[in-house]
Amino acid sequence: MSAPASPPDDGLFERLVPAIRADAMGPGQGWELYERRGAGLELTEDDEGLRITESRERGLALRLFKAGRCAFAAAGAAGTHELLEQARQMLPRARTRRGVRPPSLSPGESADPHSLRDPAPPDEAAAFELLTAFRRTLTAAGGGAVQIREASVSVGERRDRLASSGGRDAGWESRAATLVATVVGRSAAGRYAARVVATAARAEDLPVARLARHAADRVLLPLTGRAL
Amino acid sequence: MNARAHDLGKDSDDAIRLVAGMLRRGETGEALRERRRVAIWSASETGLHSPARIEERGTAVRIRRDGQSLLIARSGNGPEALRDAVREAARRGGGAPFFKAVRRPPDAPFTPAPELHPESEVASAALATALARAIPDPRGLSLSVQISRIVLERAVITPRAFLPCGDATRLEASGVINRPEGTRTFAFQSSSPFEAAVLALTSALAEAIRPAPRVSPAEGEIDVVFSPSASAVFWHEVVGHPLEAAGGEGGSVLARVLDAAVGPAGLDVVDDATRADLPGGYVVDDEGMAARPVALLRDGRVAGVLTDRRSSGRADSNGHGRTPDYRRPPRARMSNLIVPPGRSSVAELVERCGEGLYVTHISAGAADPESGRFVLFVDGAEMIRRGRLAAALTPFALSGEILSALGHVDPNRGNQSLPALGLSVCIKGGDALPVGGSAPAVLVRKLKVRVSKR
Repeated sequence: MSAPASPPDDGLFERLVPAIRADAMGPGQGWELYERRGAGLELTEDDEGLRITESRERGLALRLFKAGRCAFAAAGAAGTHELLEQARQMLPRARTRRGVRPPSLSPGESADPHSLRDPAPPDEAAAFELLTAFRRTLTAAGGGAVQIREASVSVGERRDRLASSGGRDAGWESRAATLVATVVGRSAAGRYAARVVATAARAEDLPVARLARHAADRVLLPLTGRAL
Repeated sequence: MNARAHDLGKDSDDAIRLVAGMLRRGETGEALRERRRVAIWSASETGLHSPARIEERGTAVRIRRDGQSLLIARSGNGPEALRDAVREAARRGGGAPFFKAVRRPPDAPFTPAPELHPESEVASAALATALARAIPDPRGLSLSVQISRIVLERAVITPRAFLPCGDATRLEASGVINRPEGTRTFAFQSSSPFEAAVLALTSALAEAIRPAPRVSPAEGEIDVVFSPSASAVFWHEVVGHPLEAAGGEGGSVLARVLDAAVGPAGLDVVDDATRADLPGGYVVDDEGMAARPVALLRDGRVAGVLTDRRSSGRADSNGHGRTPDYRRPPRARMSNLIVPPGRSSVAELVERCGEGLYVTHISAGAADPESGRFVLFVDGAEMIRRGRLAAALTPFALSGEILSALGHVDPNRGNQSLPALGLSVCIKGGDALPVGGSAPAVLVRKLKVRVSKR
């Protein structure tokens, strides 16, 4: 599957900042604006077949600060025009606390604007290969007595940006991969199900073989006779 | 709960045409639109703190064919998000969408929005008052609770119709309460009108901050009377989860014995999504099937399984395809588990029990439908001595085997079937969904007590 080109930044973040800045410029006032874009893919295999779930999302969040009070509002890109008004409405209801202010520039951090682009779609073939490897190892580890009830591999990437009235403008990227499986085994002690989970920053770092052996042990070994 | 679906259906005709055009011969599918508004207050023993408001809109399209299924999710619930999702689904499926690509409409200008939640000022004040009433004296007490008011609007678009699922509003609270003698978890949920829900929250909080007892139950086998609220959690774990279609017909100890007598004669257990007064209610499920009551046990016999479109095979789904979020695929899940009342009072059941436990609050539970084991974490209970209630007990765990426990349910049940306040969010396979229950008090013999190590 060829990955579609990432669309350019539409400048929504930049257009929102002046509106917020104009609203929160008084003494003791401040703001923090945050944007996240994410792309994720989940492959799930169960008794009925294969499920593919692909998602793309984008959201923005705003925190307004005023004289020790802080209010938070978050919305998707479509609800951005309501964000400022929502946070403004809630501000008087927040409790006053000392030291509440927007984050400023960290040492060594530059205040260069970071423009965000949508993450590329995750690699479906690699995710499917992980699922196959898990099934293969589980069959070997369980000697044929362990079956997958459901196994899913999720891979995703997100890109974040945070700017504040304290001069901070930072952006970062992160990735995550998860393997979750429910397996069923029959042994002399009865039928048992077990759920195993592993998470890693990259799909290739997932301990697929170790997780498959662990899952087989959980449902086959006599010591695991208590299922809960 | 009502079926107004607001702006989700502004382009309903176009949306139906899009979904119908996306599907090819041999495929089934639908689209889901969602708008979720959440107002959150963090609360401590001193009152309400920072408020937050989150609004999320999303669209998903789903295509099924021969056991394979595809779900494409996008932010936003407007026509553009639906077109984008349909375009991607059609591209993956190898087909060509019949519509032309459209230019993205310009973003809305940053003009001040109208008053969005006129009731929120009142809501904040009501919650602050509730907190002050529940905790008149905060000395020696530390509380960390998050209170959320959630409004969820959903609509399913099938190739033939635009189906609003109904708006669901609920009040949730969860957190921990610390006292010098120990920590206890707190969970509350109500889908009643806001004023009634706040009153119920006040009572639940006041009950939760009472000093914890110091007497532990003896470990071993014991007879247990469950209060109406606790009984709903018992039925949820012991009958509900094993009869959610998963893993084929042999997937659980109850699904393997369809039509077999597993409980006392006269025992009926029904999953009823049409009960709008309970948190699990809806008009149409997340796959576009109308909600309907499904009998799980009838006269003590296993009568049915909860299904979604995928697990129902060639038969129709019975309206239990539910998803916590537009990004997640629907699965067969419970809604509101209802057990009709019997004729005994709680006092009569306690007397009938003789020596045992009276359980009033269960904080969590789990069931393994495959092996048939279940466990209930009890936070509130009293000892029963010589047919009367005695000392309050520290938290402990009750465990058992599903078929054995059903076989030991006493035929006499309480004369009032009441909604379970502690039964709130049910998590299965990582998917959290609001569920409800209404059940009478029940006597179950020979459950095992383990003193909680939590």
